[in-house]
Amino acid sequence: MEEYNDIIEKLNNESKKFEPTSSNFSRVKNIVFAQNYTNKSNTSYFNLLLNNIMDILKSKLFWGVGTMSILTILFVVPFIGSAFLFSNVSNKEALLPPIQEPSNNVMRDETLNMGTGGSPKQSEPALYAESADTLVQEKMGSSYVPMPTSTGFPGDSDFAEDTKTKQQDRAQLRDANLSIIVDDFQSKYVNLTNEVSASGGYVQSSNVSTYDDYSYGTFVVRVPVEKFDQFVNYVRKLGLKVTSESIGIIDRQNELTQVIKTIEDKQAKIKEFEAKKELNNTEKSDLARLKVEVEKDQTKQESIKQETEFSTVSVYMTSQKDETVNSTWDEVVEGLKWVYNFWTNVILKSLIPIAFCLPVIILVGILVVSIKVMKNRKK
Amino acid sequence: MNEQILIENAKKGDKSALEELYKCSFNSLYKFVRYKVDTVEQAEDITAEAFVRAFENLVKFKGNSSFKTYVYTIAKNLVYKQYSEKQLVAFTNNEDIHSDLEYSKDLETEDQSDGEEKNNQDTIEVFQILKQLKNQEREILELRFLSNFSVKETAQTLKLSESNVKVTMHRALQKLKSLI
Repeated sequence: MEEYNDIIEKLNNESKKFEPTSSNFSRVKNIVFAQNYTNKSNTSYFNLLLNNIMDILKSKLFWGVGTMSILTILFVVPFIGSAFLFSNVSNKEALLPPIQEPSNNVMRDETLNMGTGGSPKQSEPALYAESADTLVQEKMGSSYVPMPTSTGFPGDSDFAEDTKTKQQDRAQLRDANLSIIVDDFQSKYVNLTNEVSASGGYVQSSNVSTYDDYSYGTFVVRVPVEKFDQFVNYVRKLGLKVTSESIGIIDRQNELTQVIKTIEDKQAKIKEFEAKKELNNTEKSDLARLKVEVEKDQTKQESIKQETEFSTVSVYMTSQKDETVNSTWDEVVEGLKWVYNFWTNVILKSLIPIAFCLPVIILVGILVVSIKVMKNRKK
Repeated sequence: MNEQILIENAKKGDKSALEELYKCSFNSLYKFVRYKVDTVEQAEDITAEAFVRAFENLVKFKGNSSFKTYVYTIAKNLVYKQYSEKQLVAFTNNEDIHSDLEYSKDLETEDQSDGEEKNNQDTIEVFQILKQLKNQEREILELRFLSNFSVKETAQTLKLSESNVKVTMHRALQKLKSLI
């Protein structure tokens, strides 16, 4: 600074010219202290508290940071998140409720035995076959006679094989499971139920759900055996696409034949006993027992006949999903809608907890500001 | 006495504290105001007004800067307000300067020396040259050498860092030297 000494000296000299005199000092002092400065001790907690709050609210930094934070939390974060979620259709499908497995009360049989004593063989879904019988015949040969399985019908393999009764006359429990996709769920549902009634059958159970524009339902229907193939074909054609199909047959002819034979044998024995003039006690009790057993067997015979009169068809129907590929802009719009719905729900559902927490929030706020005030007072 | 303690006492209404604050700040403030306005009367009025306002609003003063800076800011606003109201043009006419100096001369009790004319000429030169500097440079020189503010006080008043003040001052002096 030595190089500027002359300049500084000039400035200092300049400065001296404006030096106040004692008169200036006194005159100004008289003016200033003619006022009564009633500076109250405005350091009360309330005033300091108010000043501190006002300082914070006046702070541009507070408003700037606060506004940016709120905007970021409200829009940017959910928007980016929803963009990932809606980036492709498969992701969207992941958000839909899980597809319910078709529920039915009827045993499903998907295995077919090959001949007597053979091991069970897994059947393949009979896609687009005209009838289950045709499929079976094609696969197994014309001499094939389906055997009962061990799924839920105890003793099937315990009965003697009935090779005399023809295929079309055999007592068989038939069931089918089909999954189809339809375009108009409501109308197809009505068509299905109408067809069931027209076939002489009935709807055993139904379960329908709707999620936005997507509907799905499970129907378990029973149709007469003779209408089974026709009904299955109808269901196949009802949908735009059959996504899965399985058809099973449980043959109960052997059991039926056995029951009938048992009844005949016992009835013959009853006749023998009745032909005798006198029966001893043992014979009398045997006769009574035989009669009871015959009644039971006849009931069982009737039950098998009734069961095999109707077949069970389980249909899982879903409406067609919108698989059109969205453009990027559509995805953006969907994302924004999702964000809007999300925050609307969050705000509405948060009102009650916030209302409960409000006293605590206020108390904490007062505590923080009070600590700040005390620190300022100490300074 | 520590300025902070003085201010605290002044806030409570201690008149001696107020007088002490007045005494400490009067010289530099008056010189600044006198430098800015044409007449002594205006300078006295504005200085008094600045102190009155400072004392009345002392409660709001948080002590983040010195009292001198605080009252200087009030005085500066008053000066600019007067400029806009009366459309004063300070120091544009040599005759005005001479008349002011004569008025001051009447009030002073000291005898004027023969070197007064030369001093007056220096005053004119410095005034003219300072105008050629940038606003910030001029303000810093005014505060440092005319109002005798310290570097810290200058930095607080102009809301600059101390290093910035030093660098700018150095630059301003360099320019001033080249112009003189």
